[in-house]
Amino acid sequence: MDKKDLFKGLNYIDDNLISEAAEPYNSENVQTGKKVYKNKRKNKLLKVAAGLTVAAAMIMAVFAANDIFKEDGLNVADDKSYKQKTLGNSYATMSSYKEIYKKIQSIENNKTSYDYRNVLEDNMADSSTNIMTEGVDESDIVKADGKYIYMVESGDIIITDISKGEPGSKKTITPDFELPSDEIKEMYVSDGKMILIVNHIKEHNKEHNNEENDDIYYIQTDFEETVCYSYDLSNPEKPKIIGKMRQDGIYKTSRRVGNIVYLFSSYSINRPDMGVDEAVESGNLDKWIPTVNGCALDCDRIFMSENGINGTMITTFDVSMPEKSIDAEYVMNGYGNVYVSADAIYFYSTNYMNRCVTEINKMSFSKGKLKGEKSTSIRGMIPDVFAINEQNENLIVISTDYNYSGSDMVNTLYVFNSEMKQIGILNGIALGERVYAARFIGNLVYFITYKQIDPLFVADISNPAAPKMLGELEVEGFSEYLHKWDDNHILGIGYMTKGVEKTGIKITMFDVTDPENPIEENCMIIDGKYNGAIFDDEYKSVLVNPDKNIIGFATDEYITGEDTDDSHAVYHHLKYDKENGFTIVRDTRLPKDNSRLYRGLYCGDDFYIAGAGDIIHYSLSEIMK
Amino acid sequence: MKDLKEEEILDLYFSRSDDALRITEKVYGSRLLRFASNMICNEDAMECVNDTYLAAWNVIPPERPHNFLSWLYKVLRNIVCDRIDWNTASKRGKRVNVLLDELAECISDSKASYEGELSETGRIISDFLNSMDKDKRIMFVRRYWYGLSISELSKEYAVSQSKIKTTLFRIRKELKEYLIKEGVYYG
Repeated sequence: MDKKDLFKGLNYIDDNLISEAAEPYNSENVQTGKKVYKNKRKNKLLKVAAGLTVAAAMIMAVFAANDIFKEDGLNVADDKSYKQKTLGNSYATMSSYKEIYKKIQSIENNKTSYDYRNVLEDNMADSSTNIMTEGVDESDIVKADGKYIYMVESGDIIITDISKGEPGSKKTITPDFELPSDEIKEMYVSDGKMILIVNHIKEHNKEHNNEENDDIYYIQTDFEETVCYSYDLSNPEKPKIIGKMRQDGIYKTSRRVGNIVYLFSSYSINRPDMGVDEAVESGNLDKWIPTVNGCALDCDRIFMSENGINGTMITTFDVSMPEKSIDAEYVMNGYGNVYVSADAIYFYSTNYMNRCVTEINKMSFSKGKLKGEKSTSIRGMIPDVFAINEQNENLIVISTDYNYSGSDMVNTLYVFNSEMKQIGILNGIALGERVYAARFIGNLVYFITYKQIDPLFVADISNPAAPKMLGELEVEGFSEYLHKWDDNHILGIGYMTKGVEKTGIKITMFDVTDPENPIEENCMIIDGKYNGAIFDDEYKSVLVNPDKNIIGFATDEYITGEDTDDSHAVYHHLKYDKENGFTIVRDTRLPKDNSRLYRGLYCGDDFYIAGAGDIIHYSLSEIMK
Repeated sequence: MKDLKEEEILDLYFSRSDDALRITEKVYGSRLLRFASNMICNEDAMECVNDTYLAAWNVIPPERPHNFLSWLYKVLRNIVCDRIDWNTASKRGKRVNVLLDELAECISDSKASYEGELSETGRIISDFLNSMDKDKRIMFVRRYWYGLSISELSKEYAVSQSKIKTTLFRIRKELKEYLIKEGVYYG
């Protein structure tokens, strides 16, 4: 028996053991202990509250002048200037908090099924985070500013001096979080400022048990918040906090355009355990309406739907004024995803229950101000984060549609105009396969589908009304990640396969000079052992710079043998030229057995592999000799 | 908030109502997703949760779980275990790697092979857990079955994290001895 047998064997323990432990533990014997814990926590909270009192008063003064929040949401209904706002055909704001309460109630009691309306959707000297959209920065676990490398390590930030090339002095910053359980998710570092994005458990909801019987009632266990801590980095070794922005919900993702941060979190609006009149009292709104900096959103910032109670919270703020939100909205789009172009946010979520349908909702933005636009629906799911892209105001989406057994898969390329009306379609692509990777470059889109072989498809989207397939190439294995190498080449990183089994990592250079006849110019297989990698769902972990001839990514390797059972992570640094193909510049075994923790980056001639408090350094010119 | 009883939700399945899955997702969805996200990457977690809803629809009726939430958790855990790429640490959720490392301490140093079924493993572990104090039993299950963190358990039990770690360490040691005594490792 090994550890995974034991883990899987737990699936077969008695049902009563599983039921007994289903709810948060609550023993009479620990009441005293709970009080002690509560008092300690209470004292700390009192200190924090005292310190924030003045700041809170100032913030409320700002919010009072800001029409995002109302002191008394009941007034909205009396506001004759109120106009309902819609986000496409599926979402609409309500006139008052009472209406929101009743809407949630009707969703709970509604006997009708959800009706999807068919709207017919360097050569730079230093490296930076591998982002999706040019001009739209993204947060990450490792950042650099040319002089320092900043790393998230559990609840700390480790700042390492690299001004002399070799890693120098190291400083560990432990932010003064509100709870020990607060977790740093990602960060931004630029222009002398650092923003930490933190998950914070706001409160545990108490159990609600019916004392008359032992029936189990639905309870909300935790309220989580996403909190942004902003720091001044004038002295990077002593960052100085300048403000906090907090919003309800578990951190989902973020973007930064110029000085404006767009923060997304997942949040569910649950009807509170009180009657409607009590629930809409101003003192109770923050118990169920999503909040920003403790203030409940105004009704006309909450876009409701028939689609359950889960959704996405978005707040925007300027990094120079981190405690004041510019705008905030909530969209009840389920457990969806987000694509951000240079000036628009596309929320997309898939409903699998009746049929596989994805709704896409557009919200434009400008300097932090948000504006709901239109929406559309498509058959299928969007299988890769790069399979949705905005170009020249048109939205292009590649979807994979399939039933639950995975058979009868089919792929479709949709083109929507700025009004989210479908203007072009290319369907029936690669029957029986799903899309694994996509990349939009100029007027062409490259995408990979796979069942047992890897067709690279090239489609021409220069005429949005008539997208057409240009070329197709079948090779062994498949790519999970595509990256433009130069005007005539596409780099693919993925897997080699034997049947449906992954037998190694495969790196491919596709020559797409003639898009109607793409060819595999070169490839490299890292085989001999089973490898896993994070490039398939963590594109930020990939480092590609054609001008410096750098390809970098990390993998987890698992080696089993008669006397060995080894699992470790490796960072692969490669280079490429047409004559020799791919060459491994250096394979570096990573200190921790988790490739997700690491990023490759360079500053001038210095190359670093950084993550989890570790930095490995070498000179590019030395290693390339 | 009006709470829908489990039996009323199960009645929806038996009447093949279109609302069955929708209400299941509304009532239990966030907890199931959190549970799956502890074990596996977010993208796969959502798919596993959706597969759980489908399994519920396909199995109920004729099956009528005695405790619906626990039944959903169990189905989901099985789906997640099937989905986990056991050879790839990075594909597993961060917490699963930690849980596996801890459970590895329960494995005998013996090179002897184990040829039992997983269901037999479950029975043996159940016997072990049923012989323990309730507090410790729940702690073990909430840690290794539900995947709670040390920090979360520390709050629930209102004791320090080191106390939780020590208690779990002792339970794992006892489990190892119990497995050896039950002849799980032989040869």
